[in-house]
Amino acid sequence: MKKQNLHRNGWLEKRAVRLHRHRKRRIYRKHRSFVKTPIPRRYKGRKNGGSSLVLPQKMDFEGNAKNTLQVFRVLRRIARGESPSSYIDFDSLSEISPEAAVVLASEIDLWDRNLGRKLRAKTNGWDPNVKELLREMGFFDLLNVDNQNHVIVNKKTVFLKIISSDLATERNGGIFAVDLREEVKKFAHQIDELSLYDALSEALMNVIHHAYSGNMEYKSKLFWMSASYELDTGKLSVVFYDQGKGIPKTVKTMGYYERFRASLPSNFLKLSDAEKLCALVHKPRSSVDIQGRGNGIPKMIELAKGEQGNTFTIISRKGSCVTKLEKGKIIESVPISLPRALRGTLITWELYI
Amino acid sequence: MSEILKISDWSTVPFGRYDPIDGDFNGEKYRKDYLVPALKKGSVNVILDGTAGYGSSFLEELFGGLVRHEAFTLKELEAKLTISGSGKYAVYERQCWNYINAATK
Repeated sequence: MKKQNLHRNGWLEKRAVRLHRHRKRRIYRKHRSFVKTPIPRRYKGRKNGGSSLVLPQKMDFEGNAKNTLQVFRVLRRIARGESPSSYIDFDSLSEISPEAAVVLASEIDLWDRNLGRKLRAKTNGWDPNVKELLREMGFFDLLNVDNQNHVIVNKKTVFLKIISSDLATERNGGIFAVDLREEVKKFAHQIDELSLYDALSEALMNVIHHAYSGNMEYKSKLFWMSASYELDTGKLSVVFYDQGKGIPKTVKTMGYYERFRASLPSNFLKLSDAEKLCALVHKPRSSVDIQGRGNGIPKMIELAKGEQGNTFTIISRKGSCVTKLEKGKIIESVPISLPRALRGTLITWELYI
Repeated sequence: MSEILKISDWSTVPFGRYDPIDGDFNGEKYRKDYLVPALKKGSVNVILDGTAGYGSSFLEELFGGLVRHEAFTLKELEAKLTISGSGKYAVYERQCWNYINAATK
């Protein structure tokens, strides 16, 4: 009996090694368009090699969503492969939206946190505008890139340094909301301070209570947030991101699902991710319900209720809901299905100040 | 004589609902440590001015929790509780009473 058990254990170990090698080969074949060199099978003693992740020309969650989401997926796969020589190639990148930049920063940040070393970056041929954007957002610190010789270009947009923390350990979330608000006020003086604090508080509360809930593998409750301001149009974009399970998956844990189940569509759980998000935005509410508990998403929208046409966008898993507001009212909410899933939840407020 | 409670004397960044998971300045903590003891003594005027703002979770747990967890009735609170917010904080006054009303239903 004892000999049979030893034999079985040996077989399991060999099988695990074979599966690992097979998975690495499959990752290379599938993501060949973004990976320049093969992921090496052996890492010890190799000074050169490793894989480079080449960023596409444009990164955003609108016309370039597929390629943008693919980048994040490949980055995580490379991290799992633990190649010690991997680096990220920014040379082709000429445009990146604030939302994509925040998500990219989160992936690079997680690389550093999980692997204990910073991801390297190829910086020789960066587009100067992109370089300045990434410098302002704090990418140079994340990538350990020399910050001294940046190129100053005609600025059309001001970007804020990304604020990030782990709410599992830093529990006083209000401080982070105030930090971002104080930075925003430096260039967007007319921002409604209380509404901004309230909206960010709701997003932070979602991170603490729902985004990473009910799953033992989440030991951290990380978030990333930033803002940008277009000098010529006066458009302020505030971006908040977490890498939790995503609202479509956590909605059942939220207090208001059971409470407002009757007011949601009867087939709510069978809707696409995009339709679920829009249903939560547009959740019909009684005058009692509107003031009770479980109104996190509607409360976040309050920030976007101004005289001018503002937008509130929430992207989670394979869905996006873009809500347009004018003169304090919701004009329309458009559900958009994404070609690939975004991990977690990305919230953007676009306000004309 | 009504006791005055100014939330900004306790924290300028009130945040969250539950103690201790939501940090040191959450609604449950303020309700249990300050508001309920004051209401048991007599009338209370809660002043909302001077903070960075209020998330709905904080206010709902602070005031809605008086009904849900502390067994105060709407009539008692209408008789003993005053909520004051001036200027930009005035918008929170009505919200707080709506949370209390919603909690009674």
